[in-house]
Amino acid sequence: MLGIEAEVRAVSIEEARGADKMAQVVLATPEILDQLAGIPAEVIAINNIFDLGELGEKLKATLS
Amino acid sequence: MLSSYFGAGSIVTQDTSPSFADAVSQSVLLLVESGKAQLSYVDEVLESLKALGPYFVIAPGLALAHAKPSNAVLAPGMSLLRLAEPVISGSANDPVSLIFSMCSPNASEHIEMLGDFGRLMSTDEVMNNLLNASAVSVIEDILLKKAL
Repeated sequence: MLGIEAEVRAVSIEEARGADKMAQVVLATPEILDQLAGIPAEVIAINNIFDLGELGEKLKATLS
Repeated sequence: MLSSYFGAGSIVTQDTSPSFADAVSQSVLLLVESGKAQLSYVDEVLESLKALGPYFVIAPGLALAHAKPSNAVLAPGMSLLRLAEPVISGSANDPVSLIFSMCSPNASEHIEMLGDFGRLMSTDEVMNNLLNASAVSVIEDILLKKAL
């Protein structure tokens, strides 16, 4: 869809907040955005994780 | 494979639940009763819900209750509580009728399960069929046979 390859991992909030940059982009539901403030990654709020349109649109905007 | 995650008796329908937390508790308990997790996993999920809010309401009308992989997880597992009368969780995706629960022993299994689940649920047809299914056997057909 976006023509990119990505390694996708599921991580806990604690892991996402770790000191080392572990990802270029972190996807999360809106409820935990505050917990992810300040991490060294682009954080994208996803309302409907099954909506490929929403995912594609937000990833495209972030990665462009 | 998604169908292998649902143990015996892990899919239940009922009319109502007193609250979203009660519905989550009941759904996660189905994982315990089907041998996928220990009772302490229910507390782990409810503690996450209390601390973070309804972060696992991941699509309109659908929750995927879970906590991070832990020793309380015995095997990869999923369950479903479907409510005829949806409950309010506080999420933008309210109201919630489908309360799935998930437990995974490690992060790699976790993402594999999410992928399997996402592939099944990413069509409107499946969501609508689950909401309108007349019996547990119909839900089982949707979740277990389509996911083969």
